[in-house]
Formats: sequence, structure tokens, C-alpha cells
Amino acid sequence: MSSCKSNLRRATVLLLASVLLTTFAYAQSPATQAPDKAALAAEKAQMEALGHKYKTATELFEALRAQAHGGKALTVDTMPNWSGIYTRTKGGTAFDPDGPPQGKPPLAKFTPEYQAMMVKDVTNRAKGIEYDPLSACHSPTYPRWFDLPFMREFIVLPNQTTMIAEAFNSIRRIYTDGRGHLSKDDQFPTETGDSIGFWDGDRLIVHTNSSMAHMYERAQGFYSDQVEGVEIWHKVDANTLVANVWIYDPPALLEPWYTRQSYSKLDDADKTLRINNWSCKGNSNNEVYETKEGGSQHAEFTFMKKNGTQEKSK
Amino acid sequence: MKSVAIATGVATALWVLSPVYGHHSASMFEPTKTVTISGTVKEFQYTNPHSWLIVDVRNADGTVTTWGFEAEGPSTLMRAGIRKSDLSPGTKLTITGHPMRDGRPAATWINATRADGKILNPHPKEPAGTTPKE
Repeated sequence: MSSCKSNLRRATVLLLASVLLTTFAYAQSPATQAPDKAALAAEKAQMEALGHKYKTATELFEALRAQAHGGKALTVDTMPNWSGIYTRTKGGTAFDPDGPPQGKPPLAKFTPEYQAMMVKDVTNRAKGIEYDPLSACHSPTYPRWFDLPFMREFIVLPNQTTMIAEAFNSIRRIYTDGRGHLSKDDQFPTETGDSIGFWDGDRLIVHTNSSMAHMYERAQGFYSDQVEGVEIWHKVDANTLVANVWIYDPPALLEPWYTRQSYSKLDDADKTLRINNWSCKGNSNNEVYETKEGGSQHAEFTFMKKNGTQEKSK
Repeated sequence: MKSVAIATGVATALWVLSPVYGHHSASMFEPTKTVTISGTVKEFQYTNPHSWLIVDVRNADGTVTTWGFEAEGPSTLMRAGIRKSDLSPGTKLTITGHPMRDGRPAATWINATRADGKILNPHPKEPAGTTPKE
């Protein structure tokens, strides 16, 4: 009986989420109209409730797949047009674009251990002490991928969607050909994780696991190597791609962290924009090391003498 | 004439215009101070993850100090309308940035004005709805 009620509650939440997503999509016309705050708040509350209904990312993903009756494979004729060059719509590099700005504690419900790590980082940042492993060209990994700055591309094909972030040449491949993840015993961590997905109309639903532990961003908290995510991607108007994202990470999060990630297409009328290979170590003036205090410092500059004095000449 | 000016405590408005540091923390720079120098471009290193504008500054005693101004990489500069040819060697300019805390002659690039009056702000306009960067 309680199982019946539980299933009914889950079905209701899924139905509400579905209605909300559909309503929200239609509410975006005309193309440049920004969603109002009340609609965003209502959406966030519904999406958070949806995440709380499921204990794991796999459970949420499978519920969404069941709701979509397994999803429908794309064809060349039904592929949505996500072409162009995009960048993050808002939020700077804070993981939650709708949360506090970077430098203030994010709204995620961290476990005590990870909460302490986050608070230490925020406190040190306020003192000017901060180091990011990206300085040594470490991969940002997943889910930090969502808040990377600079440009992005989304390449949709029937059996695979490829998501490219310019920063650190971070490429995600979402397999939509019906394959599953590797079996638990065969899984291994990779820099952008292992992603599978399916299409529900023009929405792409994704499940990602097998990533590596890292930070959400500087002073934004940390995730473990058990982090997983569920995403619903949708192009809400001619220039905006939105991803509803739920992050599950039992060692680090007491409950899933829902965020609404958004990416805006850049004007490229004069065809000057281009994404080049990100050569992280191509200029030695960009070499940064971690100080004994845990801060960041530039190494010696090529435009200065090696003894650290300024180059002076008559 | 000395071409270096340091300002303190007037940088609040400029700080929000500082780059999004996608590669490293900006903690080695002093966010509440700005430095403004006038000099001649020695080299424009148009590179990822950061570009560096190398500028020679002639001091009052006749010596030359070489400064480096850090900005984001080529794609961000292109979006801001700054091309490599805009700052070829020999170009004269005045440039403002947040200086390094350790006193070395380097800074984040906030804004620059060439001798011909062209303004070179390396921070592109973001899409509508973008909040101020860190």
C-alpha cells in the first residue's frame, strides 16, 4: 500500500515536472524574452522536489526514461538545431547561476566533511588565499564542466551528442544509441565521465557517472569520485540552451544539488568567432604554482630577468 | 617623466570588470589597487589560457622597465574586438590593471587606450542577463 502511494507520488511529481517543462518552453516566445523570476522560482522548486524523490541519479534517470516510454531515437530529419557558438548565460563561474555569487557559500547541502572543506575555501578566498588545480592544467572534470567560462559547441547527431567546452578542450560525448554504462566492475574514472542519454521529443535526457573528484569551482565546494548527474537539455528559444541538472554525490551531498544551467548563442554575424585548441602550457608566463600558504603565485616571467629583478636598460 | 601611477581604494568599479579567471585564481593580484602606465608595446603574446601584453615603460632616470599585462585568451579578446594586429610592437598606449601583490611589474589588464585614442577593453559584452563576474 505504501509502495503504491510512493509510486503515485513519484508519478505526480514527474507529471508536474513534464507539464512545467512544456509550459516553460512555450512561455519563451518571442525568442528573446527572458523568463520571469516567479516562473524560474516555481520551476526550481519543482525540479528540486523531483530530485528529492529519488535516492540516486540512476533512479531519477530511469524514472524519466520510463515516463518517456524509453525515448525516441532521432533521425536526420528530427534532429534539433543546436548549432552555433555559445557561452554561459549568467552566473560568472559560480556553479549555480541562480545562487549566491562566487565568494559566498553556495546553497548546496554538503555533508559535514565537505561543508567544512567548502567553508575553509570561502574563508581563505576572502583573505586572498586561493589555489585551483586547473592552474597546473588539471582537467576541470564533470560536473565542473557546466560552469566553465568561454565558448561552447553542441553537435547533435542521431546516435550521439557531443558537447564541447573551449576551456581545457573539455569534450563530453553523450551516447544516445541505446547503450548503457559499463557494468559496475568495469567502470573507471575519466575526466568528463561516461554519459548515456535518450531523446524525449526535442529534450535530451542524460545520465553521467565515472568522473573524477574535483571542486565545483573556486570557493564553490568539492565533489567526490562518486559524483553522478542527471540532465534535461532543451533549447528554450532560438538562442538559449537550458540544462536542468541534478547532482548526486553521497559522500559530499546530503541531498541532490539542483541547478538550472543556461547557455546563450553568441552573435557571429561577421564570422570571427572560432574555438581554437586550448594549449594550456603554451606560454610559460601562465605558469602558476601553489604557495606554502595554499595561495597562487605566478612563476618567473619571461619578460623579467631570471633573478627576479626588473629588466632595466638605458 | 615617470609613466607609472598607482591608485589605491578606487578600484571597486573596475574590480567587477576583471576577467573571469578560468585557469587560475586572481589572488596574486591586488584587487583594491590599480596601476596605470604609459609605454610602448614590446610584444603581444596572443595565447591560451591567458594572453600577455608586454609593454616597455621609460622611467624618469632613462631606464626601461618591462611590464606584463595579463588578459584572457584569444577567443575572449576576439569577442572584445581586440586583435593581435591592434597592438603590434611599437604601438604607444596607456594601460591600467590590478598590480601583483609581490611588487613585480605585472598586472591584470583592465583597460588600455592607444595613442590614437582607440580604447581596448578586454572584457566582451556578455549575453543579456549576465551577472557581474567575480
